[in-house]
Amino acid sequence: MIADSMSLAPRLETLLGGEWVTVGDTSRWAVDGVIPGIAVRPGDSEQVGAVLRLCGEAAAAVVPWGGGTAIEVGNPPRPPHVALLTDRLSGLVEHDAANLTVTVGAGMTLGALDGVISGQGQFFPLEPPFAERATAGGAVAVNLNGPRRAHCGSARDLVIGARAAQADGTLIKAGGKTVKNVAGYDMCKLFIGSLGTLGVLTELTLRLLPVPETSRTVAVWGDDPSDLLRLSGRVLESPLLPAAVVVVVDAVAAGALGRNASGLLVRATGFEAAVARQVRDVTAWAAQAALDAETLEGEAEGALWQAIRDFAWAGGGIAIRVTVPSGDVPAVFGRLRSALPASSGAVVHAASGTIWIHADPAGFTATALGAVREISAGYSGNVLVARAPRALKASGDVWAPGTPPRTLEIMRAIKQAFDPIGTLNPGRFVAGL
Amino acid sequence: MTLAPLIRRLQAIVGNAYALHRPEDLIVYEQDALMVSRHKPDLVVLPDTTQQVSEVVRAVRELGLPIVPRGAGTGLAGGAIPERGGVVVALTRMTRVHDIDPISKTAVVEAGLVNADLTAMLEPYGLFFAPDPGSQVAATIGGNVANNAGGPHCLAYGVTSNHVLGLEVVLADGTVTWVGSRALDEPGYDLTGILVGSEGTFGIVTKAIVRLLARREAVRTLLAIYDTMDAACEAASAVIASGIVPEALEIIDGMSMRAVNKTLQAGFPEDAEAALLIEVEGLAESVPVLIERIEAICHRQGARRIQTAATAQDRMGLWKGRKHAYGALGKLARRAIMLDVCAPRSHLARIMRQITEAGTRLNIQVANFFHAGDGNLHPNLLFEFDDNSPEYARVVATTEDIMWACIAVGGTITGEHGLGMEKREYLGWMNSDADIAAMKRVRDAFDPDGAMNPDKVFPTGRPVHGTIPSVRAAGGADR
Repeated sequence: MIADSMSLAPRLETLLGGEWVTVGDTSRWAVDGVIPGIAVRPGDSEQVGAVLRLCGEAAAAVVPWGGGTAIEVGNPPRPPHVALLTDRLSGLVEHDAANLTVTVGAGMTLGALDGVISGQGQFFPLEPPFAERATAGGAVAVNLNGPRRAHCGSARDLVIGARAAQADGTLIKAGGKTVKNVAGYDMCKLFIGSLGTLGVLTELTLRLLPVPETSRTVAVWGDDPSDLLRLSGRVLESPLLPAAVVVVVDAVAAGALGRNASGLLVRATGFEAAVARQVRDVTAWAAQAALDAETLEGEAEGALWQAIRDFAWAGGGIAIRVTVPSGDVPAVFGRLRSALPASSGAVVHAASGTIWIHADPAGFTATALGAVREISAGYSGNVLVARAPRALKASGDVWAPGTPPRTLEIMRAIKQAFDPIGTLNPGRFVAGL
Repeated sequence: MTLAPLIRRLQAIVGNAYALHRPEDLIVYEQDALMVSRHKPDLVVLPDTTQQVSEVVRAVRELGLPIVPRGAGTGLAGGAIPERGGVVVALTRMTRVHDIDPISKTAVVEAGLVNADLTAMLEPYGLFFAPDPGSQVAATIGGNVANNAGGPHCLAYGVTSNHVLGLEVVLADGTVTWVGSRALDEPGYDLTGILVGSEGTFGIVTKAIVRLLARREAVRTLLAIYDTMDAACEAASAVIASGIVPEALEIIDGMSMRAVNKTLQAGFPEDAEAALLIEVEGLAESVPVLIERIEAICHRQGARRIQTAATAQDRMGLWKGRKHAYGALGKLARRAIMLDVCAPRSHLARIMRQITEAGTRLNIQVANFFHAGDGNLHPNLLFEFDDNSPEYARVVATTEDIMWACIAVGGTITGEHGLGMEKREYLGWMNSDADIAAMKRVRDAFDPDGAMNPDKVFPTGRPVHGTIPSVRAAGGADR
């Protein structure tokens, strides 16, 4: 794999022990078809640092792996590379329930995290796709959010402390366990969404929320998504404080609920009286718009939100995220719908202005992608081609639009300073960072 | 170096009236709200546009002078003090609102806009800007951004960084660029996130895209009086632990209450040692339920008296004591220094006891009013002597003891005021050399020459205050 590969594998084995180094049989850690020569499973943060240093010395690129649920996000990796698995960094450091925080190893899955905190009536509201298997570190590094983003916050609002191993092997910490902290720069922000290109996260301190006493979802069905978007606008401009407002279009509704219509889903959480009021208001507004509404709770509600959360990622295919100012969602969505092939589906997170598109690769061309980017650009939107066949990915940067030149210079300077020889996920981030 | 050519050039850029150079004009800019330090700038410039800021920066940097960005000068950590001289760039003329989008709930505003003015302007839309620092009637949005300002209502709504989507910034080389955007998920590193709280050391923020929130339809306020600080802290912790995160959860101690009683008829009992002030917002159906539960918890924790208020006027009555506490301290002592530290919410009662002990040990009176809900404490050290007297060493020692106690339970040395000059020497108490080196690498990526607000945030190796040495050896270990 690597110029110096003959010596790198034994050195990694000496460092970690042979059982934690896999050479050869590594195809299951391929990313965009690029297979790593070596996969390593360091057991603590010091070992992560030591792996990075050794790989740097051998000029090997390192692709950090969490649960692998969103490993495709980014430009294709540069071969040859080493897959660094964080699954052994999965311990609980501290659950300070009275402080509403938890500190965990970056390799802990969000499913396991839920097991730790749910008994005390708390939850971590990030809800990225496949949250059961996604790791805390991976979810934060990729910065995919979920349906409750606008209500409960995104990764940048919920991560208050982090530890990371840097390319030279040194370990640093950022933030802490207080919800307010301005002692020095807010270094957590640098690691959130930076795809492991500045350091490998080894530990995270997260804000938790109390589990709401009641949760119900109003599902409004209709043939025309624009009716539903109009109704979602009414909900968002009302005094109601819904936990999530999502419009699903055809395919996902059919798949998740056995429906063959588009749906508006408004989730109300909190005290019974407040939930009842939100359900009542939304149901009444649906009736005024001559749309059918039903109320879901319990398992049916849980299954619905899980399907929405995982939409675009389930079952292969192309996954694209378009983010626009929330007020522009109806206009953007209308234009996207006419530009996309009929086989595409979409989930619109109305409150956060996020549109997830799922498309069949067979009918989705570079021209269609170009149209998506152009429509988004007209509304100061941002596009991420989260998953796509390699050829489509290679047609340009998976992120759009381009960063303003002087801002990109600063990003390059940061990358250069944190990872001067390009060990950390090189080339995979924005503009090849 | 004669500054005459620079003065002429700056006058040409901003107009004669806005390039200040006479000593009597400069004196206003030699300090901010950190009362124990002052340094005169060489010049002060008040630009009116981003373009002017850019030209000013280029002109000043050609001569190699440092630049100190400044908002309203309400910062409590000395972040706007031009310690090395140079040119203060005050943004107070840049107060325009470029765009309010009530549907997307965003606004684009200039850095000099006063926080409270923005919220007043948003009133007709039913919107508000959530960060509400104590200084909000004077503090600017740019200053809020530089210090990642908080405030009482940050408990539920989050601090400034949670409400800034993008920034226009003038870099040390004079270039103007944008970070972030009106939409979420801007590609690349979160430079907006790291710029918020960078205390003017990365560049001069000239515009901000801020996130706005809708006014809630119902608000209730509750004031509970306690015989002891311990009981009030336990009540605050019990509210949070019960799964309720109110919009605000404040504590005022006995000394502050008695001071407030002297200045206005606040009606606090003279013998109580703490009052808990809680505000909840939300739907008309949920707020009464919340208040009922909070009231029950407060009773269970031994509240002597509980008042609740629903109307704006009654609520203001309950807030009056908290809002005027800082001003009332003047009744207690000639000098007051407000500290700003944080402890995890699970350690409130313990840390408050340690604060009292530190004051007693070092013979410094301490009055407390603080954001209990997020563990953000504001011990006010009261004293009669000047800050250049030998006795001031006791103030420094008390400050250090309190910071140390917070660090020991996983807290921080500043929650919302920043390091500035005041606390820069203590960064090493919290962070390792490697942590600090990483922060400096980010600063260097923005400002390789260290021209912007030099010597702020990072340790300089000089004494914390004049000739008074730190009583504790500054540690470099990773705690």
